[in-house]
Amino acid sequence: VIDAYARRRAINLMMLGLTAVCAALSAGVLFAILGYIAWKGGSSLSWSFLTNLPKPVGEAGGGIANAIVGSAEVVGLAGLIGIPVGVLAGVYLAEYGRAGRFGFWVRYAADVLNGVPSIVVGLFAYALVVVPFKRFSALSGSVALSVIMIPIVLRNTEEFLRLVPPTIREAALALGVPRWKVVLRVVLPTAARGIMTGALLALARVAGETAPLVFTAFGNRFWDQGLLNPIATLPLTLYNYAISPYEDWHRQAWAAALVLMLFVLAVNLAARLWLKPVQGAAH
Amino acid sequence: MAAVIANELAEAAGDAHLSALIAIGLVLFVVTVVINGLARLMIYRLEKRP
Repeated sequence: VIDAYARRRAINLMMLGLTAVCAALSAGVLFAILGYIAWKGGSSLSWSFLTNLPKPVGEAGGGIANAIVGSAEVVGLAGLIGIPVGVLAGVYLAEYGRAGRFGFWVRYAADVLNGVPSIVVGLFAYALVVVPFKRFSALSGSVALSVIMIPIVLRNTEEFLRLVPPTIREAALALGVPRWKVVLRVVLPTAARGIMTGALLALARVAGETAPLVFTAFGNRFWDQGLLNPIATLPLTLYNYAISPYEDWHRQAWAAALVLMLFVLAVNLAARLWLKPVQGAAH
Repeated sequence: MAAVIANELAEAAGDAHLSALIAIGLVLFVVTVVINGLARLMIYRLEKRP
């Protein structure tokens, strides 16, 4: 009997240790990536790297300023398209379509869309925007990124609206407030912080997408040429530099990776700090 | 499959090549739809059981 007990204790200890090691490993991966990129790219990071245009191969001192501006434009436009659609659809699902058949299919579609490989979304934008215009463009990149954003924002908005207690809605309705006004002035402000945090996280996520931009935004070595022309973005520049045969471009790719990583990390941190009071209130 | 599309689409030669790449995209999409459907079915069955 003692033997069996000791054996069970040993197995328990071993499995507990295993779960702890795996938990540490999951967090460790982030720091390993951050550390490695900082080590490889840190030395190339400088003010001129952030503010200069790329130089021709062989000339020293090129930068990624156009890619930073391009990323801001493409991601910003994607947000302008994706966030309103996602938020409004989330409002519909949470406030009007909770149990219906239509709501079920929209939820299913959003989940499928969330799981579709981003390159397929790129193909969609290619067929929808690039082919009719007969040119790669910033606009097509934004369309691709907005398609990725919509299901994320939608599901997040719905979740946060569901967290709003029904009693608040009923209190407002009992005072004779019309339904639309309850949604607009009572429910949405209550969940606003969570919704905005979700939108911010969705922006950070698509800011790092490369695959859907390869044949939509396409890349460019100059400043922005308008929405209907190819545009440089940070992930694309990083990708092109990384697969190039030039040592100097590899060095710049690492530095670009560091910039991208720091940006995504900063947005994530900001969103998390912002969200905190809401979570405290909900629990 | 995703890598083939990424590598070849920007320089696809001719309509047949382009169509083939988009067909690969369709296969990826169908896989997502089917797996999501199966997952939903599983959840639905688990919920029905008391």
